[in-house]
Amino acid sequence: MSTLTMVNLQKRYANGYEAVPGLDLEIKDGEFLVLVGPSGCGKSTVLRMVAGLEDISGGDLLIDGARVNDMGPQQRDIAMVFQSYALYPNMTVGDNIAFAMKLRKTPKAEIAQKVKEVAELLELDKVLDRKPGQLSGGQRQRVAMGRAIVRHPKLFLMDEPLSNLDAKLRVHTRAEIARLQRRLGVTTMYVTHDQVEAMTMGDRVAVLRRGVLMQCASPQELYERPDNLFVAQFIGSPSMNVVRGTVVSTDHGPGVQIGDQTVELGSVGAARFPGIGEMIGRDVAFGVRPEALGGDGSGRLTMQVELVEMLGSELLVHGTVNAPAVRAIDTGVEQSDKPTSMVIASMDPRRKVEVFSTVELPVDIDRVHLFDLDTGLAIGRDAAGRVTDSSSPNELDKG
Amino acid sequence: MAILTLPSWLMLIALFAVPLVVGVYLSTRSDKIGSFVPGRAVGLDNYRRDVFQPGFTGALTVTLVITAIGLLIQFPIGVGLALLLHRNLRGSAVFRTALLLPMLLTPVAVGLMWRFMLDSDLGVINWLLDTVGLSRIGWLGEKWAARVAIALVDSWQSIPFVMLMTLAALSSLPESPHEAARVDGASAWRVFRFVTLPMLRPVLYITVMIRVVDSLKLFDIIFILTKGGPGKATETMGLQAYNVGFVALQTGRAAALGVAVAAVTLPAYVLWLRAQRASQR
Ligand SMILES: Nc1ncnc2c1ncn2[C@@H]1O[C@H](COP(=O)(O)OP(=O)(O)O)[C@@H](O)[C@H]1O
Ligand SMILES: [Mg+2]
Repeated sequence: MSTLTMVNLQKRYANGYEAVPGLDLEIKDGEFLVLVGPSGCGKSTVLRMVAGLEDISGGDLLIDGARVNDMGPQQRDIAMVFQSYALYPNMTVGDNIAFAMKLRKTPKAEIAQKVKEVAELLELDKVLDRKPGQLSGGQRQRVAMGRAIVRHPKLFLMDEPLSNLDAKLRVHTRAEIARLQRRLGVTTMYVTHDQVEAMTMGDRVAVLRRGVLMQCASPQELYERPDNLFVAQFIGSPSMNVVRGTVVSTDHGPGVQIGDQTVELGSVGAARFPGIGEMIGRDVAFGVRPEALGGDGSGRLTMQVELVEMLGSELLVHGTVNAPAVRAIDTGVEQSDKPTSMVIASMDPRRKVEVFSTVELPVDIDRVHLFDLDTGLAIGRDAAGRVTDSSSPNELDKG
Repeated sequence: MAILTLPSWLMLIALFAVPLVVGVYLSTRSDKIGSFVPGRAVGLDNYRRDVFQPGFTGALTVTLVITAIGLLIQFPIGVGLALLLHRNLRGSAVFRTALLLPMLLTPVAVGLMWRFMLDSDLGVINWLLDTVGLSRIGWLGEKWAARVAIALVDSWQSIPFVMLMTLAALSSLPESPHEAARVDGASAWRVFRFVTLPMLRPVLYITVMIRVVDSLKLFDIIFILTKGGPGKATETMGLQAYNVGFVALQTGRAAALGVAVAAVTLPAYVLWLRAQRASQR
């Protein structure tokens, strides 16, 4: 049982590329932490530094409080599941699983016993004598898992272990892995680019962009209280609607003017965004998730319906509003050139919505997010006063 | 289909089958070059006289011994160099090019060059041995020294081949099983022993077979270095056939020896073909 701590962990590749400019992250004993981010953001780099497969350019890496920067992978007592599974092609399934124990000169009887246990757990008992080349994709994945769990290491590292499985198997295996990890209680760092995987599996999720940590919190916290526009749009599907608006004052308290209409935030909004009184006249990014439109809510947003998608459990209504879209990109925040943008609302599937009609949607003000247009930071984050001042240093542009 | 492969078949027949058949035919006759007595059929006399007797088995042994010594030199060094170069340390590119040079030289030039270097009085090798305080060796004049010298020169020229084959195989291996083994706790040696080597095995096997076949046919280097001497200490099968055919001018007997060489080499070819098929699976 172990903890993993990264203190200002840095990686600069030989070609000068700064993949990780400085990462602070702590994984608690027995915790399942998911590192998520778009492809190329440095997830594998971080994981490989932890495994010892990649040199660390700066900062400290601690396992159980002891610095392991200069230890080889052999000495770190880590088990890793690779994206390609990395099975030993010339060894049987049994030998693949037993390899690490054989290296440690574990007694033969004990090895046989453990291999048997793991094989039964992962339903590999019938293929123990086969070579990896004779296995299906799902079986290979399980061998890779078996090789890791047979050892009771200090840490599990997994680099997109499900990305080579088909969709159905992926959902099944996702649950399997989460269940196994909870049962074994081994501290785990899991890398994926799939936010659904991250949300469903992790105790906590760390969102990475260009090697910079955007937010690390529980799935629910990330979803409900994103620290910044990047996290807000990365987590959730369909992703959060974000358009440009202007903070205004109305008869019923603060509001946000979006194109030719005004969404009144009212007293709920005034409480949610404490400093909003001083922001009158300022342009902001107005964000609201599809399910916070079209249910209950005191605010009102009108849009032209362009497309209706019936998903059975919900009705997705796509429509336009007269305000440019705002998007978090790799280098910061980008505003669309087009004066109108698409907004998606998730509604009760029993409702009838006509294409090309105009609908007025209720807006749940408790689930409205405002972001600074330059920094992308969330405005008026009340929770523990973490982000309340939108003029704080431009954290998003560090990368 | 059959008609499309016809040209290849004709070519193969002209190049391989015809000489083979002629060779077998000659081996049953008593022809001698420059003899006034016309050759006649002698049945298996040539085989009885030259193949199934100590002279030939001696040559066979010499051939196998030189082949074995050669393999023991070529493979550790060739594979070792490939592993070094594969790590892409600084200067690898230059080093790699330099290492290919021996392969590009003709065996005769190589033989001559080494004959000078191995010369017991004036050669640079004995001078080097002298300089570091070791005793001089009569390289080409002593039985075992001469065999080792030949294996050494052949190896010098074929190490680049072994290295290239291994290097090509190494660069086609997936990286991740090696990393997995390191994470599993294997030392560098064990990663090589249990992961790299098994994955290299098919290619190494083919390379060994190619080298064995080449080595069984080894002729030019020995011809330049020792001509089979001292005594018959380095007289390989090829050299023996040459001596009988082109020195004694007895083509019938030489043909019988040639057929015997082919027969001895055949198993190596078969193994080579099988290895190749196995590695393609
Ligand atoms: N060996 C390398 N040399 C230079 N740049 C690299 C190297 N490996 C990865 N990178 C770069 O570092 C960034 C992060 O890579 P990686 O950690 O593999 O991303 P991820 O796993 O999140 O997709 C990418 O932009 C990639 O191009
Ligand atoms: Mg990756």
